[in-house]
Amino acid sequence: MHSSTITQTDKAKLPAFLNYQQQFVDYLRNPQNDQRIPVSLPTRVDVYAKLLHSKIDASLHTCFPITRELLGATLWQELVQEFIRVHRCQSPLYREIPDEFIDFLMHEKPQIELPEFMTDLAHYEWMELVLETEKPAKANPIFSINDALLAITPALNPVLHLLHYRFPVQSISALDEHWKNWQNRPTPYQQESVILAGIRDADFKIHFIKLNAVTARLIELLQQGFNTGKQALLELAAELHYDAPESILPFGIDILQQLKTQHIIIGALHEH
Amino acid sequence: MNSLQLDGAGLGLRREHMLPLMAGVPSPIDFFEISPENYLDLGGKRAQDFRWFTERYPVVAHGLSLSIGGPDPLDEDFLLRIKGFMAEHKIRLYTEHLSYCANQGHLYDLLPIPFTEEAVHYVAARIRRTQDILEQPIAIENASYYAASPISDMDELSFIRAVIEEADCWLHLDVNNIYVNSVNHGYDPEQFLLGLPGERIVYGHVAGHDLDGPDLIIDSHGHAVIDPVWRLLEIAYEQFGVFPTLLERDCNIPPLAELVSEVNQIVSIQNQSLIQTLRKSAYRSTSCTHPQSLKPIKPSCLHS
Repeated sequence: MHSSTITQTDKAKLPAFLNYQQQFVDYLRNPQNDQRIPVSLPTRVDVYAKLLHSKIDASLHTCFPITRELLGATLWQELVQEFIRVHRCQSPLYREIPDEFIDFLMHEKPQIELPEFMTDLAHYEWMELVLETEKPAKANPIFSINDALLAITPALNPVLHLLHYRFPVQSISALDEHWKNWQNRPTPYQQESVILAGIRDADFKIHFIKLNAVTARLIELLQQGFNTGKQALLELAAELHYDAPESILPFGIDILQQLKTQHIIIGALHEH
Repeated sequence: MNSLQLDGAGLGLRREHMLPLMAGVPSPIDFFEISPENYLDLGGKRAQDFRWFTERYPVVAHGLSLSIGGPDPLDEDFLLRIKGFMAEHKIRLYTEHLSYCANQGHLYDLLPIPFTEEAVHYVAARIRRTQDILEQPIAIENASYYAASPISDMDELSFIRAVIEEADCWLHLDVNNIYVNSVNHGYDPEQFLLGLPGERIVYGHVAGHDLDGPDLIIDSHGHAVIDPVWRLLEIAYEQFGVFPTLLERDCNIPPLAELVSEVNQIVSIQNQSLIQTLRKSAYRSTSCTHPQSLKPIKPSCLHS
């Protein structure tokens, strides 16, 4: 009761135009049919509600085409409207509307309950936008490398995300009956976890590379930025409880070589 | 205006047209405009292409998300980001809409401020603060709106005049918005235009719009500019002098050539207006000397 009294007092203190704007926005976030437009608002507030919905819908539709297709038009529209009603977008940047939507899906638990695989799928679709538009932090100079991958401190691609999903998001398609029939299944989908490295290469192309758990861990060790290839591999061997850690090196160097081919390792942090 | 190095006619830069433009910018285009909200902290291909334009042409930053008239506190961190962005790309002019777009969270749309005395002081103070932070004047655009507020205690023209005056800022004149509002709210667009503080205009917009019923126009920037809007631009130049003017197009994006012909239309209206101004001043000048005199006009006679 106390807090609502304070709110009332604060509201009374607001200039009339700000009060009006708050009512206006409250309506836009939760529009009713024409009869329910509050008397204090002009009927054309409805025009704004429709414009807002179609603007947010267009932005999300572009970013999440497969999610939308699988959800179907009706559920999708309801989800978009719930996002508008519930979520408070903090970013002033239009291109980050999908970031806000992911935040909503992950942390605000929509009433329209999505199957687990669909949340993963939406995240994966969003990552394509993230990788395409990310501005990497100012990096130290990167030196070119030959094949001495054990001796150098590898520099990783500055636009790199390690992604853990519970479902094989890369192979989910809106045309595949297996996924299309998600609403009619007697049991939930079996989890089948995947790890992907999402990267942007020097030609601005986006790649999602499937990794095994060991390679993913090696990348994490390299992300710390102070391990040479050899040190990272030996640390990995210790974590895997190798009796003779050095025995990891012969095939470890193959993994490093492969990471270089895949544009995950792009150079060295020091001259050598 | 020389301090802004901005002149002539411009085109709103769209991703769809970046490649053809980088192959050769058609001559009618003197400058471009972007929304800082689309390029701020952007990486990747589009950011690299954007740099191609800022290194070669003047670019105007036309903001969307400052919410200058909104209930939330002015987002000063965001303004500092814009300031850094403008410095990085040598962008001289920042303009924003006389509207708001957030209330405890962004709505990414331009919403109407009620035209009240209180709102004038509130908005003007926020514009002043913005100018302090950016350390330069900004231009405020007359916005289109669809829903007239029942609590307004003045008309739109008085509101714009009062805000611009009290904030001591520039005016970014959008003649399409005048036309849109004149239909949506039933007033004479020419009279409205002539009532604006012309001496504060530094920049202009023309655009097309969508009809949504007989008495509602949506300011979609999705069609070609219509004749009555071109006419308003002519009148604005005649009345206030020529100012740099940009064609906006944000949806139903046609091939570049189609937009270039509209930019060219801006150029020819500007030229025509400049010629008329010259003729008028020549007429004034000759008429103050002996009418039959065919001597070249002497500067001194302007002061006689």
